[in-house]
Amino acid sequence: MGPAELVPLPPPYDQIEHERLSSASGEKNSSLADTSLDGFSALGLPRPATLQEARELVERFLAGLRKLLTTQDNWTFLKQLTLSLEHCTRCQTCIEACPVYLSSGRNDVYRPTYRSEVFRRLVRQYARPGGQWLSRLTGEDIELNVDTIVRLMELSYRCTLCRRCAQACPVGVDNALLAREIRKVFSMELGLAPKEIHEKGSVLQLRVGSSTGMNARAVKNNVEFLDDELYEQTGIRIHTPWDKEGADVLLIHNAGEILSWPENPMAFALILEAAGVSWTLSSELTGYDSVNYGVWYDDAQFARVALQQAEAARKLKVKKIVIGECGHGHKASMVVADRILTGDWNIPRESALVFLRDLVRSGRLRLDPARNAFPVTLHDPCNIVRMMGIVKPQREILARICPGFREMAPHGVENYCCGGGSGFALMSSPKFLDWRLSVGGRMKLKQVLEAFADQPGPEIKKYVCTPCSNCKGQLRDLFQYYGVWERSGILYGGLAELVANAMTDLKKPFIQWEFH
Amino acid sequence: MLTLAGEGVSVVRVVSPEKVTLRISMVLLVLLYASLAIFLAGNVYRIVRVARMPVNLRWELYPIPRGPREKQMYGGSYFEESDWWTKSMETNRASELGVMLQEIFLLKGVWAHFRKLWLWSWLLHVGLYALIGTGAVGLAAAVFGSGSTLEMSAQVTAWVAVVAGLVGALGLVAMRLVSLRLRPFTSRGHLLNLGVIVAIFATGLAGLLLDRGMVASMIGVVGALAGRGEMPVLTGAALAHIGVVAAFLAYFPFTQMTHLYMKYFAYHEVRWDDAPSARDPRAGRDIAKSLEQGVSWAGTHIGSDGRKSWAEIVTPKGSDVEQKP
Repeated sequence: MGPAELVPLPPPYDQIEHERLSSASGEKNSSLADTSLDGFSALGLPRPATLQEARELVERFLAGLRKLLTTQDNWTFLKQLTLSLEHCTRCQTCIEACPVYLSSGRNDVYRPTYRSEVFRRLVRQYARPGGQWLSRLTGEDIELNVDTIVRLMELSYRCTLCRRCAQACPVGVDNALLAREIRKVFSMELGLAPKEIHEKGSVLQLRVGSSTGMNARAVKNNVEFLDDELYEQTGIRIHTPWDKEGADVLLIHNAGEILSWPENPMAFALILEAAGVSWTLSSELTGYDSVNYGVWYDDAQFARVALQQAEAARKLKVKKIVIGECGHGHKASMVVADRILTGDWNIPRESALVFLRDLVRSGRLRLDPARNAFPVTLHDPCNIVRMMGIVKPQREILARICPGFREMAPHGVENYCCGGGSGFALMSSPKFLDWRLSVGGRMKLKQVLEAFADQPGPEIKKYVCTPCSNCKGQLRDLFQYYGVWERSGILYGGLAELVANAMTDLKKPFIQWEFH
Repeated sequence: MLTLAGEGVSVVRVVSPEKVTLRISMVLLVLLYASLAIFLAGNVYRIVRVARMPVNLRWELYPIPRGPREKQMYGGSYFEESDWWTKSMETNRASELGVMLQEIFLLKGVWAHFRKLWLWSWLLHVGLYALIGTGAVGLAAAVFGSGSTLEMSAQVTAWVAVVAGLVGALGLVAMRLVSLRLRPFTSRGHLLNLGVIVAIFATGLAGLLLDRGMVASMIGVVGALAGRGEMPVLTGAALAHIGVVAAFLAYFPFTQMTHLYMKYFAYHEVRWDDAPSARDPRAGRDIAKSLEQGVSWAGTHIGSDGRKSWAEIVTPKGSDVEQKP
């Protein structure tokens, strides 16, 4: 795949086309990682070194495939899996909905149906009775070998699980779900998953409390530092409350915000204190980090984190949990974990976007929209919007405090993924980064640039409101890769920052207009 | 019956046409009953299998046709309400039905996302629905007596079925062979499915063109199947049509064409199932049972020893397994 095949970007970005993409591909080929799928590698895994290792890989994959089809090992998603495996008509209606496929210039490998078809054929031929002869009869036989397995694993990490394709399917087939089920086989049976989301992600979170590596003491120190920063910046002294039993609200941020985008937790602290909310953070294990990477690749890791977070809230006897600006954290906690959070663990959970909307509506904050008199557009995180139907609250806030707000096209439940979904924003190995930014995030970048087409130059500063930590990570890398801040003056940031920026209590603007 | 027999003379049996017809009738009836039995058993099995699957984790996708109409328009949900768990939730069966009917009869999704395919796919579906309609009218005629109105209705539905169905099926075959969007993802299996459907409508059309009594014959066949009257004498085209239909019925439950009814589960129990667990005690009980099942995943981080249950492995107490990759 060369730069010329990719969907064109608006000027001047059409001229910047990356030599990096071509040269990086050359580097990749010299590494040990298998890049036979498309020249890139998300997992960075080398091919098996011996015949014995290769045989074992095939056998273990087959064992996992069979377990995936049982109620015992996959009661969690067996119904969805069965419906999507058995009823696709291969009508290809869904493919034009996929931003990765479109970005790539319609490369067949990135069709949402491609990996599903490979997986479906493997299931039918190797895990169903009579599969061998039936597959030959219908001409759908497929050889099961190391190449097939390694490429399938890589393919499961070329989908951001945005589920735009599922929305388009007339019979309810969900190709994104199939990508996730493939990831499960590799993680839960073979122990293979990208390091960034497993070893340095959910494993770390369950061990020390956060995927950032911060333990309780570190997170408290860091937040204390932010309180001081806030005082220096605004003259307002806030002592962020920790472990306050019986608080109305337990706020759980994506802990990555504390380290990478501290202005977001600072903005929340300002808003909640100004509105007089009874709130707290938790220093319990996982109670201060809303992320749950298991939702992308592993049911056991997912359930462990979800239950641990609920346990933190239960101990504090809070009235409700408010999930900060973290898309997958929203979906994991409020939707996917809902049925396993029984009894005392079923503590009401609400979106920060809704909570902020209520505070803005309430009149408890003094806000002046003139302070946000710059062009603003809104990115809809797939997990919050398409998968949870939270569409209006963030727009209501922007309508009240951002006079220069304009929508992207398409938006709302039909938005395009940022390209960092399902853990991609965390996966920055050189063998994957080029793909993530030049293919994965391309449609989003195109949308952002088109939303500001009337003011394209850098002299007018513009803001992409991005109420999701992973999406912010992707936009940071995407904007850096293409020099968007320098060329177009476009900054990204959260929703709470815009609310804080509009607060008349502050003498100086809250938003610093510095790219980081 | 005339039989010639004698010493030194070979026995020649001349079977009367009536007997031949009777035997063919018996064979046809057995064939049709067998294919209907496979059709019913296969479809019931598929439905029961999925219906009895354990309660799954939620995996909804918006827009969902529930709640206030305004929210439905843009894909909003109850999560947009503050303290949503304290509010009543509207279900809206009429909206759900409306969306399903648009999908079933107008193929709205294909229209929106693959316009070039839509006409052929829609015609094919119209043909199949009309074919089912012809069978239903035939059954009504068999039960209530074959009046001119019913026979006329069957004539209309039969012609709609064969014309729309054949044009649609041939169009789809052409698309699958020519379209760059479809061709690389078309297998012999898909062409076989379409081939059987083409055969149904082609033999039906031949029957209607060559045999003026085709519709009456089909009503007679349905009547004979329902135990109302004898199997009529059939022409070659009619026999071929019935043979293909019988083969299709027996084949259908083993194909992805069962999406016709399985989409009920895909929509109602997955895509649109946003019921919070606090309001669904049955789901909670079922999940509790599932959590008691053993886990056999072999990844080292799972910490399964073959005896531990899901509950032991994932609850905060049980998840003390050393967290290593």
